[in-house]
Amino acid sequence: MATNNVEPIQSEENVIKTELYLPSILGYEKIARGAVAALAEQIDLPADRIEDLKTAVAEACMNAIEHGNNLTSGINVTVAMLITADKLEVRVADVGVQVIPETLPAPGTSGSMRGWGMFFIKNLVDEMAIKRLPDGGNEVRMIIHITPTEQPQQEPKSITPVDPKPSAIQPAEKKPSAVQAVEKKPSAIAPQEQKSSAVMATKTDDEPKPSSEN
Amino acid sequence: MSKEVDHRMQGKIGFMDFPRDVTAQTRETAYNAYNELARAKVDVIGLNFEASDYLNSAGIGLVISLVEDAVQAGRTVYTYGLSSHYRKLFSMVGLTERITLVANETEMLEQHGSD
Repeated sequence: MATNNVEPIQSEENVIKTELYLPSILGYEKIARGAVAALAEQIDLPADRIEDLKTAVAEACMNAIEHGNNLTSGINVTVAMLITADKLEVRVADVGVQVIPETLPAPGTSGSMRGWGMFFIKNLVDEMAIKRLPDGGNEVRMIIHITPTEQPQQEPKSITPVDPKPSAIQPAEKKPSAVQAVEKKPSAIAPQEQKSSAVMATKTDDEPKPSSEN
Repeated sequence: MSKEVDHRMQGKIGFMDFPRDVTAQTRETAYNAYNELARAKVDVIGLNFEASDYLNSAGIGLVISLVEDAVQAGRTVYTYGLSSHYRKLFSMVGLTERITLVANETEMLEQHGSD
C-alpha cells in the first residue's frame, strides 16, 4: 500500500522531465500508459513494476479525464513524468471540475461496481498523494522507487567492469537516453476537436445490467 | 479487431471472448453475451481474455458484476488468458475467491471434466 506523504522534489536539477498533454477523451489514458512504460523501460524498471505503473497512471488519467475535466475534450490532462536518481514520479493534473474528495467510498459500493481506480493506484505504487493545485485543479502524484540497479541514464559513457569475469548480473549499460528534458510546451499530442469516437464517454446511470435469468 | 464480447457454447458450457480493450465501452456487448448464455441455461462460463491486453478499473468492475451474477445463479466461472499482472489485479479485488483461474481453454475443459 502506498504511503500518503510524497516528498516533493526540492530541486529540478538532475531531474529528467517529460510532459504530455492529453485531451479529456476516454481512451487517451492509453497514450499516457504507453509513454510511462517507455520511460520506465529506459531506466530498467522490472517488468512487474512497469505493469503496476501503467495501470496506476492510466487510472489517474481516467479520473482526470472523466471527473477532473468532466470529459471536456478541449481541456487537457497534464501528465508530468520525472526521473531522479532514486525515483520515478508521475504527476497527473486536471482543472478540478470535480475535486477529488479526501475520503473516497469503498470501491464497488456505489452500486455500479466502479471506484476501483483509486484503490489500484494506492496499492500499485510505492507512494501516492493527492494535491489541490493553487488554480483549483487536482494533482495525483505517484512514485515508484528506483533500486540501485535501476539508475536513470545520465550521460553516455564507457563502462569499465570492476570484475572482468562474466557475470549473470551485468550492470545496466549506460546509453544515451531518448528521454529529453522538455520545456513546458504543448506536446505533439494536441487536443482534438470533439468528434464521434469509439472511446466516447458513457453514462453510468443507465448501465445495462446482467439479467438474473438462470 | 473486434471491440465486442462474443459468446459461444459447447453443451452446457458457455464462453465469453473478450476484446483487446476491456473498459466501460465493453459493458453493453458483455451483458448481451452474458444474457444470451444465461438464457441458454449454461452451468459453466469461461471468461476468455486471451485477446485482451488492457483492462481498466471499469472493465474489471464489469467482470466483478458478471461474476457476481453468475455465482449467485449457481454457475461455475473460469477465467483464462490473463497476464500475471491482471491475475494480481483480479486477486486484489477478490475475484479469485469466486472464480477459477486457469491458463487456457484446454485446461478449463480438463478441469471442469474432472470436477
